[in-house]
Amino acid sequence: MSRVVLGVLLSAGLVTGFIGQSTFAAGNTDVTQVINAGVLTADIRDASRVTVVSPTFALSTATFSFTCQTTTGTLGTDSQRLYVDNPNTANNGWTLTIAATSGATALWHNVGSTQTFDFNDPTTAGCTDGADADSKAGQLTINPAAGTLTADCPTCVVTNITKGTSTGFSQATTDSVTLLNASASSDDIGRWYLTGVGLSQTLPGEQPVDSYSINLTITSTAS
Amino acid sequence: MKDIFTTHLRTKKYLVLACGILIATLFAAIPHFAFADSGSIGGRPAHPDASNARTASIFIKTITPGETVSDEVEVINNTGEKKTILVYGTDSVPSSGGAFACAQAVDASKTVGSWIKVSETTVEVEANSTKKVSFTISPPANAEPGEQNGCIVLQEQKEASFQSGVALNFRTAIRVAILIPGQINKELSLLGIGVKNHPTKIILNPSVKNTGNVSLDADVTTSIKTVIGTSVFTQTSMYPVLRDQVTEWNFEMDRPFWGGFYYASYDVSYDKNNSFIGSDEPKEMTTLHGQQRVFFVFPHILALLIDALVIGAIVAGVIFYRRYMTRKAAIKKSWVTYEVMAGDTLQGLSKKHHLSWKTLVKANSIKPPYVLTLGKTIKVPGAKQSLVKRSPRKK
Repeated sequence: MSRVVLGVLLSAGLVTGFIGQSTFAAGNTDVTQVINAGVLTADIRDASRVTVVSPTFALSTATFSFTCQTTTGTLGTDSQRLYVDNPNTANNGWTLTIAATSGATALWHNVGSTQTFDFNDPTTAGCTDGADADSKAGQLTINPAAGTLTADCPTCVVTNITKGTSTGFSQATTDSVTLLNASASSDDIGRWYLTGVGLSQTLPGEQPVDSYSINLTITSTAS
Repeated sequence: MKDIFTTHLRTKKYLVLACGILIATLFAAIPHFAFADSGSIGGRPAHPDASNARTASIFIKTITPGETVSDEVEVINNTGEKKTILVYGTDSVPSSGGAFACAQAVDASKTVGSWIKVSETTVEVEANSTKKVSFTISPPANAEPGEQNGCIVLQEQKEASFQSGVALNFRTAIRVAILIPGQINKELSLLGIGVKNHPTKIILNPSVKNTGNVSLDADVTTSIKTVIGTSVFTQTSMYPVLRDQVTEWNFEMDRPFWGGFYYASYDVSYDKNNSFIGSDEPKEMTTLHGQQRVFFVFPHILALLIDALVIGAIVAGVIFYRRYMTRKAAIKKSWVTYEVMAGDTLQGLSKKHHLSWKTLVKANSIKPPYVLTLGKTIKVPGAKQSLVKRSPRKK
């Protein structure tokens, strides 16, 4: 008897679970389906298209040097793809650009910002401080042309989307670098991802040993 | 003993029941957990103008200086979580290559960004829902005629934390194009086309400059032709060219396998009509033709090998042919005539004159069964004069 009661209770629990998910139609036979509008958006996703929370891209580790040196990296890898979705939101083209979140006066900084170096000083190819607002040297160059743009939906293509030219940040001259520029002829409905964008940072000589970070913002703009 | 066994059995039943209820509860809740963080946030114009299709994607306004207009942006949260979203106006800034970009939130607005006032700069939007946020645009009385651009930006509010390397944030923006009434000038000039060679592709880099006071929607056609005029690449795309900006693009084509000399050129068409973005007024298209540029593409290594093989075969063929003709001429110079006599055979004559019988056959076009005809005069190539019995002189 107790076994029967147990079985009934267990079954009731499972049925409750099914009911919690099911939708019962009303007395009439109308069934509705709503598809919400999508948004033009960009983010970092893995190969399974799952969004990567707090994505970062590291440049190659440098060894302390008394002379200027350059480190390189890649923005957009197979496990951290730079995705752009246009679900019929921007019907006359869009741009994808990258800039320092803190603006033209941003600096690479360590924890506590006790050590810094620049990202947008082109003087001597980033090796010496120029006449900009800070007293730091260093220049970050982004090369979208080296990247690969891949269409990631059944009907979309990469045609009519151009990649930006290799560009170094330069205060008051180039504060934003173009990653992608989609024309009006590009697919109004599409999903693409960009990998292999080159990063190159000039490190000034005698930069103290530490871990440094810089925040960059990627903006997708309906234009 | 029986009491202990009964107690144990009862405990076991309660555990099974509890597990069953827990499994059922989780089963009902799983669909919500699985999609908690998918989707994205963004926005679009809340009230597009049916007469201007462009307003479905961007804000387009004609505003008299000193006047204030209002509109709304629809803030969209397609994620499975409630989001706090920042909404703010900024100036537009040119990005590299002349593309449209928006200033950062920390940058002081000097133009359109300062004209835009958003009613709520921080909005909370429930999961899978939207919210309309109103804003006003008030150009100052001294705003100059022509087009001014700004942005409405939407960005999830997040706390910053230190992450070694390049840490990325993301936001979405909508262009705000404002026409201050007055004289509209549309002027575009072509600056030329660059060509860049890469190992696997050719990049065409045309550039233009907008010297007018409004942006232009430019139809850019780039093409590559061979020296004999065969088209190998053509692409036409329409891009906005912002006022006062030099705009350039990078069009890629696969590197030609065979290489060689090519012509690159580009044409740009735009509407000369003094109308604003997305207007349905009749267009007055004008086309500017860029100068052609010649460039050389080095062949693929495989193409070079094939070229080398073909050229080598041709050269070898010429050499062998010349040698053959030279040898033939030499043979013709050294041969003498001989009248076949009774008992003469090909083998005998060839042996006598230190020749191959095949040479005799070939020189005299003798067919199988290779029998000499009595009294016939044949040619003996390279015969020694002292060993040849000349044919009798005719009297």
